[in-house]
Amino acid sequence: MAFLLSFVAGSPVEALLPADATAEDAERLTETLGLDEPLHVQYARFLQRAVRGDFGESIKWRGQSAMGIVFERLPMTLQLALTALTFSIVVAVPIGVLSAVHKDGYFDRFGKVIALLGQSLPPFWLGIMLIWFLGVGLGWLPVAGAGSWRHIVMPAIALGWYQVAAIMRLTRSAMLDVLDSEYIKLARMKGVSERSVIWKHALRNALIVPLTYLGIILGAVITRTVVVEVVFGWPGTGTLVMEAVLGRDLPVVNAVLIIFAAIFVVANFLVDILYAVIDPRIRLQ
Amino acid sequence: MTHSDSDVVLAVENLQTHLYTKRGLVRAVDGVSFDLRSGETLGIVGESGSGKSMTALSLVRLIPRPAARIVGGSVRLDGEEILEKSEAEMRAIRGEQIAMILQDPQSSLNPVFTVGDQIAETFQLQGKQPRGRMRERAIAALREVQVADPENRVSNFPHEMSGGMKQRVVGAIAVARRPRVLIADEPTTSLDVTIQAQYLRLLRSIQQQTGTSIIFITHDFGIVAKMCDRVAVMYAGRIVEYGPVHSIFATPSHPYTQALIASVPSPDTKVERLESIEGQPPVPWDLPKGCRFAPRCPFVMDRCRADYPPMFATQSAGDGDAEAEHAAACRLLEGES
Ligand SMILES: Nc1ncnc2c1ncn2[C@@H]1O[C@H](COP(=O)(O)OP(=O)(O)OP(=O)(O)O)[C@@H](O)[C@H]1O
Ligand SMILES: [Mg+2]
Repeated sequence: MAFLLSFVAGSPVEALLPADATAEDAERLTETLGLDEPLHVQYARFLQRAVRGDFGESIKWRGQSAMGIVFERLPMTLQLALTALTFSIVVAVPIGVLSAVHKDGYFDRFGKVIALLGQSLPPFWLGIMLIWFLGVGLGWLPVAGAGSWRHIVMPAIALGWYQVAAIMRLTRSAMLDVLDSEYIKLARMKGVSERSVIWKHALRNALIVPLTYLGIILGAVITRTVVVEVVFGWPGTGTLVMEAVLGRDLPVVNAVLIIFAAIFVVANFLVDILYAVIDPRIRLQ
Repeated sequence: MTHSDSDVVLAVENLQTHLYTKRGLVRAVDGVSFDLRSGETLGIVGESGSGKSMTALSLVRLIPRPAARIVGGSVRLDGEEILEKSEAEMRAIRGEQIAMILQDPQSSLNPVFTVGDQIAETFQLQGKQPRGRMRERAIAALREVQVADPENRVSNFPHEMSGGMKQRVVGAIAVARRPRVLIADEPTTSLDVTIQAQYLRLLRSIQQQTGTSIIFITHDFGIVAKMCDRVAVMYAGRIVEYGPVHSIFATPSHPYTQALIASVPSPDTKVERLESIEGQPPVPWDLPKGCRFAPRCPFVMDRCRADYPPMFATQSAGDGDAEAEHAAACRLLEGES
């Protein structure tokens, strides 16, 4: 896919040359970049290097390897994504649990409103609204950049809010199922307190459902970091890829795409490990 | 009742539990009364949907919320009214005074905790104790219900055990704190016949050691014959006949009981569905006004349909002898007594 993109994105030769360059200049550059060879040769060479994590030199930032630039920015993106997911879980799971416990009550209705708000607000819009109110209007938080915990609050909320609704509803329905089960009846029968029935006996079982969902949406969350980073000027791989695309810096774009794919694989692996921690039935397999 | 009250552990009087369903009001338990005496086993028998489980859950106030509500009656444990207790007081009673074995061993244990932890939790509720001591007590509890190799089994998860073994663990949890009353709601329906017999023997021997009283809910008249001292027959939310097991088998007096027993060719046959009785059980949200069995009863009379028949002592009931008390809610007995 990264390879296909290099053709869609436009010729790097055109992008790199000054406007008054001659056809000869263009030919020379094409040769040095290896773009004059047949497609399948280009592709084979691309794959060979991609496997080694080598995408060549950046076109925009001369003299630096594309991969090196991406790795420099990666920690910022991971920090943002993890903070956002933590925010989603910390907000969504308790609301989901309490909505199930107080099914059809006031709390449940409150939860439904939250869910509705969550899914109708796209992250970039929420981001702009946050900047407008908390940043510009009230001046509580810095509107852009990074450096302190105060910088991460708004982008993390903008990115995390979107998942809140889904995690909440999944937690709620899983909790409703679990609370109806025989082993919850047995726990109550033993005289276990309601708090422990809900937060220990039931939640540990119900968590498996939202966890599965997290595994599925991780890819989407990582993709959405791009938009949010750009909105908040967060110096991660998202703003990097934006700059790279605008500068037609294909090696960097490719490196980011590969890293995103790798994050996706690693994150799914971590989710699988979490599964095994929560549910002993999975440990056997 | 005529026998001495000191002997009665659990006295249930006119218990009424209603369910508010989409189709309407269901009187799942509609005026159930019985006494449970010290050390005895009382059977509750009846077709599916007759309200056996709902009765059992009402006794510990764990009926499904918010659909069900206990709307009337009285449940006294050692003379103390349970229906007036606070939720905190109820928690102290559950497991300590009244314990319950649920129907399905496959789903009665929490899949994410070891069986040892689940047994230990019962003891923890009596007061915090060191972890090592808890483990010892859990192992002892497993040994008591004859689980082989309890030292290793204690760290098993439920999915690592067979159905029969899981049901033993559930039994161990139930008797762990030596409750006064043990309610067993069809504890063996999902087990195969040999495991079932072993489990029933185990329950009996635990009862002999601990002197606990058992309420044994079942479809199976064969088990009633083996396990129970007395039996109550339930139909559409009401007890239609009760008495000592031998007396019920010898002279079943309610036409429903007669049909139930007649439909069991030998005491070892299970009654899942009573094909031999004409007609269907009444729809629970639209019960007949008088005797609920009237639409299916071969001996139905006009006055059966007018109002609900009271309990009449049967002929086999010994005069004033509490142990032999045998009665049925049927107008056929009206003239006799
Ligand atoms: N959670 C529930 N919601 C609505 N109705 C229920 C619920 N549980 C039970 N009922 C109804 O209450 C009545 C009594 O049910 P109960 O479970 O006590 O029957 P049972 O005698 O235990 O039957 P079984 O032998 O099948 O276990 C039935 O009419 C049933 O349909
Ligand atoms: Mg039942």
